[in-house]
Amino acid sequence: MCFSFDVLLSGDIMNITKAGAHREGKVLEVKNIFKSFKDKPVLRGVSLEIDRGEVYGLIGKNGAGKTTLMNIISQILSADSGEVWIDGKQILSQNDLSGKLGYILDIPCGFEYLTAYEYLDFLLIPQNLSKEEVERKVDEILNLVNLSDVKNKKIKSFSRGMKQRMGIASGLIFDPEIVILDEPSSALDPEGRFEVLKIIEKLKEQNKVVMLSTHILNDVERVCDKIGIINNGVIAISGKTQDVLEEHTKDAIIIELPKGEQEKLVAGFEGVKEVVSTSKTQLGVRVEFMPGCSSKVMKKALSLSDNISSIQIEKATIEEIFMNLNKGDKRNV
Amino acid sequence: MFNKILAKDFKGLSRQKRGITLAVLPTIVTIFAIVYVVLLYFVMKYVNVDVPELGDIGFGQLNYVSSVSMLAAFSISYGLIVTIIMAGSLVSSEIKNKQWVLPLNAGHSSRSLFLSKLISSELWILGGMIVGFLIHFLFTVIFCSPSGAYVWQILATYLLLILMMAFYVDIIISLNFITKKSWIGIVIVLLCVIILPDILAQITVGGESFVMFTPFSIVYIVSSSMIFSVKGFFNIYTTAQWIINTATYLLIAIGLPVWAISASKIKASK
Repeated sequence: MCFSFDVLLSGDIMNITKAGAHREGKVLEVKNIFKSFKDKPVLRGVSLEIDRGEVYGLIGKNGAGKTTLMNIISQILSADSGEVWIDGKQILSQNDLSGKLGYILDIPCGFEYLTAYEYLDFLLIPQNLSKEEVERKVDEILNLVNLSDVKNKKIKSFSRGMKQRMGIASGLIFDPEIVILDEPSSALDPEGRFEVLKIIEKLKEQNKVVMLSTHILNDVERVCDKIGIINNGVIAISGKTQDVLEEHTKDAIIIELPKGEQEKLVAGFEGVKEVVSTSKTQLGVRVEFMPGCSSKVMKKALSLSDNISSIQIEKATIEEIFMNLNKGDKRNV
Repeated sequence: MFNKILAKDFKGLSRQKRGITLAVLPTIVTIFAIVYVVLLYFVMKYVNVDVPELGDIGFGQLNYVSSVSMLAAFSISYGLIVTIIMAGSLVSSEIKNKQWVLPLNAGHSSRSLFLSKLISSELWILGGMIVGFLIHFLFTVIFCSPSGAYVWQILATYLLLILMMAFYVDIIISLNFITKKSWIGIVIVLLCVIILPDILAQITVGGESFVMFTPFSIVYIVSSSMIFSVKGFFNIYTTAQWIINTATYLLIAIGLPVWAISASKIKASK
């Protein structure tokens, strides 16, 4: 399974989105959202901002409130308090969102008795396009999500993965400025997932605002400019993805060197007060040290062996940050 | 633009079991009514049983009154109740499944989505009733004797049944849209069909039952075969009833959807 990415590069669907797409500034602002269900607080003062051309990754455990937040932004759920602003205008009802926002649900629920073409045609009715224009747009978007061959088949007959791709096509067909994707690739195979990421990257190039919720944290690292990790109803960690990763960088290096040299290096680090621990890996030796001692440890390593091929500072992953946050949460409990 | 939405919903009903059931139901009800009329005729003819109540209504005979009365009785009981239950979640199930999210995002208004669902359901049921009534009409004029009644009276009964069904379908779909919960609308409308007429019948206005001045009296007018009494049908009293009834009918049938549109917001439960 693969999507036709070339269509995306040249197709009119995405070119249309360029109109008015070069304005700068925060497009989506969520201010201090509170929401409870039967006195159980789900969101406790969530705020975030997304600029034009940014992809925001929303991460959290199941039940953390990601979908609730997305529902509130999409105005299909009322917040107990707080505000949603788009393009400097407060959103008070679904009418204020008309044509501006496409909310792609985790399990897309179209009118399954319709064919793919009929459903997309139905979504395009408010645009009042000619039949030829509708056909062209539908063909392009179905080609994009690789569903052209089932254009005239009922959505009901689609597999879950096909329905998910149909959901993406439905959310993009009317060319919204803001795209919210709730677990867009949960039912897709790795190739399909990869293509979804390419679509998101392309949306970013088109200066769209994209909010993505997913449990596949590698995807977040790959495409998201900003992340927000929801924990206990608040955004516990947020910021630019790179900043968050750097902030949580570990105090450890991986020294790559031949196997025979590994013992010598480990022995050499024994008794060095800045070094917390050493361990052998497939490629070399991992050295964990006290904060702020990286250069000293690196110099020591270089003095111990002439056969070092590389020294890499070990980076934290979103997954590790997320897991550590949850561990801390469990400890607090 | 609205025509396209309507066409989508009309197509939707034709492709879903619920839509087909709504349309086929009047035919099933008609067939049952015909079978009962014939059955009673043979029972009365070949089994020597004296049931005075049946004789009063004209059952046991193959004539216009018995045929139409049985159809009205079946339509008002089984037909109406099943239709109410079937139509009672048409809108809320789509909202609950978040099927309206993307259309609303795309620029459709909840007003057009709701009205389209309402009109397409009404048309679909109307189509089913016309087919059912056609079968009934052919049976009645071919196999039943007029016995003093006229064809226009049969057609007038059909019209009243259609108006009655349209009225309750209008109420149930509007309530379904307002409450977003199927059971609330179903319970309210079933109460209106089963209990409310009895309560209103207990109230008397100028010596006459108050229910006759409400749209709910359509049930009584049809089932009591009042329509077959030309004398009772065209006097000042009944004319006043018809005018008040029609006005109230229109007020509820138009007012409730308008209220639904203006008061209801599409929200998810979670």
